[in-house]
Amino acid sequence: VKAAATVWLLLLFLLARGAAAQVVVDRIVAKIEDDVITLSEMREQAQFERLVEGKAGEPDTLLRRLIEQWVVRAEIEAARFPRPAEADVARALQQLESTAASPAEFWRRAEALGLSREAVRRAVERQIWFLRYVEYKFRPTVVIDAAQLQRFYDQEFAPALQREGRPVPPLAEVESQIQEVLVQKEIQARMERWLEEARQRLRIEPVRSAEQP
Amino acid sequence: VKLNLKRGLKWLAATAAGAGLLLAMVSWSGLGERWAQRALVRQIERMTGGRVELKQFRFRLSDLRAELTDFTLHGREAEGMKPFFHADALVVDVRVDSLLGRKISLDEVRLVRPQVHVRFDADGRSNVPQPATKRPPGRPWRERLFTVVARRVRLEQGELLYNDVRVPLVAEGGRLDFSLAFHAPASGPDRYEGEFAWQNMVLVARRYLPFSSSVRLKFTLGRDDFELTDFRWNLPQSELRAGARLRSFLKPAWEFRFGGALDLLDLKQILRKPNSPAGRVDFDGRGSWAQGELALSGTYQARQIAMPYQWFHAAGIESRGSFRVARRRLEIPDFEARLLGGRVRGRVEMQFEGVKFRVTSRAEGLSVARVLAAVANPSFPLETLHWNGIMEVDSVTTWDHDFKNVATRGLSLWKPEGEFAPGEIPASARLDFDYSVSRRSVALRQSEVVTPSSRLEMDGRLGARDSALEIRLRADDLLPWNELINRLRGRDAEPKRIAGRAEWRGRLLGEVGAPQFEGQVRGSEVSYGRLGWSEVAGEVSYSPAELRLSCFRARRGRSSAALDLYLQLTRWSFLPENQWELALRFNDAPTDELQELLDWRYPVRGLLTARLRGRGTRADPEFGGPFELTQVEGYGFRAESARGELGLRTDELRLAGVQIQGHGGRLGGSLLYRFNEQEIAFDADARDIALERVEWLQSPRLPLGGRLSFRLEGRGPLAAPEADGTLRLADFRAGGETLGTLEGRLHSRGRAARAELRSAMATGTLDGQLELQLVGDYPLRGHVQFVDFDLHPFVQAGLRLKVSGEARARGRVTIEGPLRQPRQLEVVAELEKIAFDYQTLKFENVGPLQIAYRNEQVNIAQAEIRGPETDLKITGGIRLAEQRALNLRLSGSVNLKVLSGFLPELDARGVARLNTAIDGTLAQPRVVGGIRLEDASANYGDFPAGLSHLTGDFVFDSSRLVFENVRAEAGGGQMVLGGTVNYGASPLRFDLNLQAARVRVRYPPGMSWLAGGRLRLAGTPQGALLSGRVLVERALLGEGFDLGSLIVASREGVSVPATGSPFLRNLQFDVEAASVPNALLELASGRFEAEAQLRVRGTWERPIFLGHIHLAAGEMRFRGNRYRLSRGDILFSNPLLIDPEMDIEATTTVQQYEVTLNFSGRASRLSLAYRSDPPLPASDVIALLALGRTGEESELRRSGTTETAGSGAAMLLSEAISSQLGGRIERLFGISRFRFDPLVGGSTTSPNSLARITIEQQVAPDFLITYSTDVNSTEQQVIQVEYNLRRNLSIVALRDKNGTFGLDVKFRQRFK
Repeated sequence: VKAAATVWLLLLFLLARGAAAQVVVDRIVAKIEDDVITLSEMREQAQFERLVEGKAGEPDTLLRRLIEQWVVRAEIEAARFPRPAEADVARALQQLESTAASPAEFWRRAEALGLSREAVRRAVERQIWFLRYVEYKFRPTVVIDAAQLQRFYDQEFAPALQREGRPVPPLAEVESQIQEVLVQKEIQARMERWLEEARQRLRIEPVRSAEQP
Repeated sequence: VKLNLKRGLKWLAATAAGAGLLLAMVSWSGLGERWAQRALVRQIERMTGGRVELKQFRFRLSDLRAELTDFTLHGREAEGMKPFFHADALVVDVRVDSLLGRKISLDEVRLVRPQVHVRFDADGRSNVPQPATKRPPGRPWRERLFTVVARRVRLEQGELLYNDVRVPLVAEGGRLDFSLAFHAPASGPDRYEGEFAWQNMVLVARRYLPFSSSVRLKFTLGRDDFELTDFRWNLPQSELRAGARLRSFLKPAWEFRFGGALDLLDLKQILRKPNSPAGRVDFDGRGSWAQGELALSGTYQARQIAMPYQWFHAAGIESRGSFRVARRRLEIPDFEARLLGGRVRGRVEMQFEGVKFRVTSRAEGLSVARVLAAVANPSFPLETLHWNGIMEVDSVTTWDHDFKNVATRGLSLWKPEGEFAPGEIPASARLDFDYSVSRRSVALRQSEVVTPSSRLEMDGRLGARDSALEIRLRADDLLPWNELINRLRGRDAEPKRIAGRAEWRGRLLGEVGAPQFEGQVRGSEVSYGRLGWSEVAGEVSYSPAELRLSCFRARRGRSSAALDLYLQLTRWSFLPENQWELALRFNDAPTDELQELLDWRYPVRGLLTARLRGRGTRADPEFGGPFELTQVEGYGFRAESARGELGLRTDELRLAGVQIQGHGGRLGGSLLYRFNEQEIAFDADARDIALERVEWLQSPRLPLGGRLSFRLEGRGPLAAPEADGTLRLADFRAGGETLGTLEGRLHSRGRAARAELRSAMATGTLDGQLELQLVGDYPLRGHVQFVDFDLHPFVQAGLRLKVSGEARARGRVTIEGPLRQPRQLEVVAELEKIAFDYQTLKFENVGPLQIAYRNEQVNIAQAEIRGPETDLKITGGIRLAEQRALNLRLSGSVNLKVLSGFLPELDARGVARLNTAIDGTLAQPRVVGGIRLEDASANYGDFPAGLSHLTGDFVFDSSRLVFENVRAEAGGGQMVLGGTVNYGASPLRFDLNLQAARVRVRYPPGMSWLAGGRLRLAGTPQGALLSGRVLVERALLGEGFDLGSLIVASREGVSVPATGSPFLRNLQFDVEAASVPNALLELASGRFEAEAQLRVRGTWERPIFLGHIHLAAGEMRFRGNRYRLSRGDILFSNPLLIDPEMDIEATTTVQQYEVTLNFSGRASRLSLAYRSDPPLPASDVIALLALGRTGEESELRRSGTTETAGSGAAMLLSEAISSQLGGRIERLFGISRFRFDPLVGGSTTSPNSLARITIEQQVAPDFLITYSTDVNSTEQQVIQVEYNLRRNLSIVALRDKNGTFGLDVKFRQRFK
């Protein structure tokens, strides 16, 4: 028994040493066309989600988001769409800071998650940049006709207010807001369609199943 | 005398004969020639004073030619020296001008190898012979030595030696006059005086062109001096005058003067230099030459000089200046020239030592355009740039001998000044140049040329063998460079329009004759002919041996192509044997843009991703690679993707592994086509293609569906391949109805193809076969036979029937004729049975029905259709060509319900008996006959009145339908219809009238009118007018008709629901409506007595009322309150929309308050006044009416940040927008708890300053929570909770934006 225990302990020791020796600094988690997505990018995405949301998505979800971000970024760069102004990024950062008790507290949490100021700033900038591009790409192509406005008013807007017992303003008063709602819906739908099509079209090869970063 | 005369004659004859014999003897014996030779020698020696040697003298009497052989005249030279004159031969032709007058002359003189040797010794003695004179002592004496006149003189291979100077003496010419006299003055040295003139003298020298000239001169030659007094030499275009004097042969010092006019054309011709300048130069001067030193001075003026050189060609050049030659140096100190619009001044120097020139010049005011035109040439057409400006050049130019070792360096500055012709471009430049012929290079230092749209910078060396010139060219607009580029492409090349912006940054290397360009090119919005790119960029290497594009990208819109190209060139040309390589890449490039990019025109759209490679030689190229096309649209098809491998060679096209996915199915296949043999091999395999998604098969009337699968293989000549295939159309649907499955087979063997069709239908069968010959006009023959075939979808589509039912047919269709001549096809349909069963319409044929199509004519041989209340016979035909003539006969009776099949909105019942003939054309049919209706009825869609008990005759008279005795009932009243419908011309026109009494009309919806009167409907189906006058007895506003809503809605104009009928939509009104006295206006909630006088105008969907309604008295209930009408007037005066002027007052009692409402003003800006008794504030009155209580509890809402009435809607919509935005953020970034509007920003420093959201929730009737927050701050949140304990007691808890909590207890007490 003693010999067996010794063997097991030795084995465990060796395994522990082996595990300790194999610290993964970074690796490729997926290939897209001629580009790659690395584990560090995935980690950064996860930590940013933890910072803002308090939790991070599953590895597959994270990878999907990164792939879609890659799609958007590839097209943005090809289109040379301008980056957001520094003032806009600073303003958004300020809003983000205000989600915590104080800016100091916010940055303390970020640091604890291993996110530098630059990483947070980069994520916020990317968010503004990408969303603006999505607007820029799809908004001009969306056309809302009177029938759609009327349908939304009749089938969704008015019943929703009536269910809450609220007065229903005439269509003319809320037409522009409804127009915006429909435009946003259409942009959202088109963006999702575009991303799905792009995912199918692109040569994407997950290098290995993504681990929880 | 006779005897003497006879004797004398005999003596004379004997004497003559004796003389002749003597002469012959003398001549034969040579005694005469020797005698003549001696006499001649003596005479010449006497004349010249020299000693003559003559080897031989011969005289031929036959042609009077004297020949002197080896004639030598010795002067005073020493023994052993060359003689003064020698000729190998002297041939003189003598002409006897007058035998009796003893006058002879020289016809031609020819000297062979004449050599004149004149020598002056240092002591002044010469070898010129001195004639012996018989000079009388002390007297002047003059003797003409000789005068020679010859009509033609030739000097062959002669030379003149003056001391050691040798001058060739080769000439021939016309008349020559030479006289020489010896003059011995009384005192002073004696001398020769000569005059010489030779016309049409042709000098032959070296390689120059023999030219004709005339020379004339006078000279005196003394013992020690020589003077040329008058020398004139006339060339073809030029003249040279000169005079010279040599005072002493002992000290040879020449003084001379000269002048003349030189036409450069003479030089050009004589010197055989066609590429030499033209023009004229006048000059004069004088000079001296002594002891080897030449001294000259003079002036010149050049006019109309034209320079013809390739690299400099200009005309009209003027120049003048003065020159001097001294100390072996030529100077033109004041050189001036006018050329190219400007002036050049400078100094010209030439050293005789080495013939070295140096020109220091300054050019001013030169026209850049003219300079560029002067230096332009076909290989460098600079004039096409159309640059202009003023040029200044400071330069120093040196060369030696005949423009050898030319070197020039200087600075040229261009200024964009002066006058510009239309199209000329102002240019400025700084060119610092150093050009050397010996180095064969020009160096340009920091040089540049700038125009308004371009900048060319150069720095470096342009050399014949080793160029290294850095070039940067930036052109904001390539259009001004078009002409230059197109000319450089060659005169045979089709000119292209080249536009856009481009920049070249690179260098020119190697030999200038075969330069190599290397660098980067970048262009934007570039177009070349019809091709256009928004951006091009890449590395370019271009030399006579190759063109290489590396990392080259062309972009247009969202399309981009990346390419690497290598072309092997042979002296700039891409020859058939030259190698090439190409790598072309597209990524999701929309083909529309790609086709524009490559100037292709294929009706296929999609997103192309491809990796194409090409290589080979120009003559034998090979091109291909994998491709993938997504979102494919083309030829009426849509596909999700198409991928495959393309291979293209000179002799074949190959598509391999093609996979097309779309329409729910997929198509795979391959294709090989050999161009030369015109042979094809293909195979295609399709599975489950959804017909519903094949657009071109679809029509709104007859949508088709089903799953199509087929397989086709073939090979052989393109025109007649051998092919086998199968086809299966499963679940074939037409018009939404499943017909079954169709299967077919195709066989093609050479010139014949055969197709078989079989079906597996739910009901019935359909099968047939077709045979097609692939020769000539492709004769086609076949048949299709069907049993119980479902015709319903085709009936619906063809007859536009819109009712449900079924139609079946049994019969056979045969087809025969040339497929290439569709008009000659014959189609015969024989229907044994055809039956329609549509709701109440049931028809079927009686006997076989035969329809034939031949020669563009459809004939109905026989057709009788029978059904309930229907028995219709149809015969005749329709011609489909030309004007589509009709010839149909219809007779029998028809159930009017059939009309509802064509007009679903029409509900017609009854039987129509008809007997009509239709002829004319399809566009303009003529109907003759009539239709009679008895007790029929008709209701049309939205039309507010229907007809019943319709009886009367409708008579067709060729082009009109006349209503005769047509009566009907409508809305409980009687109507009489009359008028006509004119269908003879398009569009159909009608003019109908009706007279009605007490007819009830429901229009607009919710209103009912009891009225009578006369109405007229006139117009066309596209636009009609309903006019007339009606008298209203009663108007009823039914349940659901809300007067309040009508009034509120009238702000936008009253409108009725849109109608689907085009006829009603285009119907206009002009109806006068009046009320009977005390007519009633009834509402569900009340009734009024009213008087109205209105005129209804406008359209069906937007009627307009003009006039007024007076409401006399009445009452109604509204929102639970009962109102008594005090007074009311409604005035309709706006002719554009219903916006009546209202003045209505109504009173009600709520609780203990009597509330009076007064609506006044236009409906669109209606003002509502409240008053109550006892009086209350307006807000309380509203609350009282709306809620049954006063509105004190609304304080928060009124003072809040948002209006209560709108807050719910605003919040809902704001949430909806925010939700979409949030969804986007969450999808891309996984964040849902933090959002901001990405579009907020820009110049606003305080974004979202207005983004405060207030949410209010009525939790219970007495419990209200209000939440208000500023989206910019989590701290600025206000939460208020209000609980109403009683009507006048409430508790309010508030957390303000600073986080402070407060509690209020409110008690309200009203004091009167």
